[in-house]
Amino acid sequence: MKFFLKILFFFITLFQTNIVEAKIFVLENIISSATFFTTLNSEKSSVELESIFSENELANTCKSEGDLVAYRNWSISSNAYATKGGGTFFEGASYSSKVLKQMGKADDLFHGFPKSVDGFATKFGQWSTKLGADGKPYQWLKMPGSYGGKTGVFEFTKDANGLINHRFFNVPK
Amino acid sequence: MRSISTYLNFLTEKGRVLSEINPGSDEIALTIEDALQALELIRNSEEIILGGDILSEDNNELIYAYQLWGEQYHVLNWCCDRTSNESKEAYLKRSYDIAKESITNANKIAEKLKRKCYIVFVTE
Repeated sequence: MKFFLKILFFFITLFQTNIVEAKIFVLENIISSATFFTTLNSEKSSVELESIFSENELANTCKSEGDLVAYRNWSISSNAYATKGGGTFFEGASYSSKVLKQMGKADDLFHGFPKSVDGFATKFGQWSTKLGADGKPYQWLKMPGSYGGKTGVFEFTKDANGLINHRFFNVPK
Repeated sequence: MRSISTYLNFLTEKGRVLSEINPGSDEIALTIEDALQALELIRNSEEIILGGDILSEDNNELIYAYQLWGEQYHVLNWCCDRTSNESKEAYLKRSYDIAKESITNANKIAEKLKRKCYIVFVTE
């Protein structure tokens, strides 16, 4: 029995070692990095979502965004504490021409982050409505995370007509 | 009609590069006075202004106005999308008018808050 357990332990250890090696291999070959962690108002959270995206997903994401961004070290992991998720934020919404122009500049850290981030923000971001200085209501979607070696908050705002004119990676000074 | 290069030269000469706060950015911020001057150059070159961002200054460093003045001021960043059936000429004029109005409005708020104000144009 002891011998059997030793063999079992050996294989478990071997299996874990392989996973670590696979991870390193993937990260070395991916050029850009974006990490998302949604912990806004985590104290209010009743549901804890934990999501770790597989290396295959990462590789697929990188391929699909290849034309948009010169990726540096792309890795995504998420430990999400969702309160009010961004489930329908982008439904029926559109980006302003200004935002689209700024999104197209892949080297622009604050504006040019990949569109796939929007999908993650929808899943793990927090959504709220705030009044603008013009007295009109705007919906905000925020998701803390890191990109291009900086930590900040991915921000989106849309007006009552569904126009998104603020798509910004806000890095605190 | 002037070439867009006149405007771009003006930007290079008068503006502050945003890459000082945003690595990889090729955007350039102008003071209110310079922005109003640049607006004329853009209009003369018949370039559409898609929108703009309002910035301020904190410890001699550029900062997006809403980051310093408060989140509600994100609305100062404006945009101008072409509407259906709008002619190029009408869109050009409207984009210019909205830009001028937005700059004036941002300047008023900056003065009220006793803050500096910079403009970044996003052109087509």
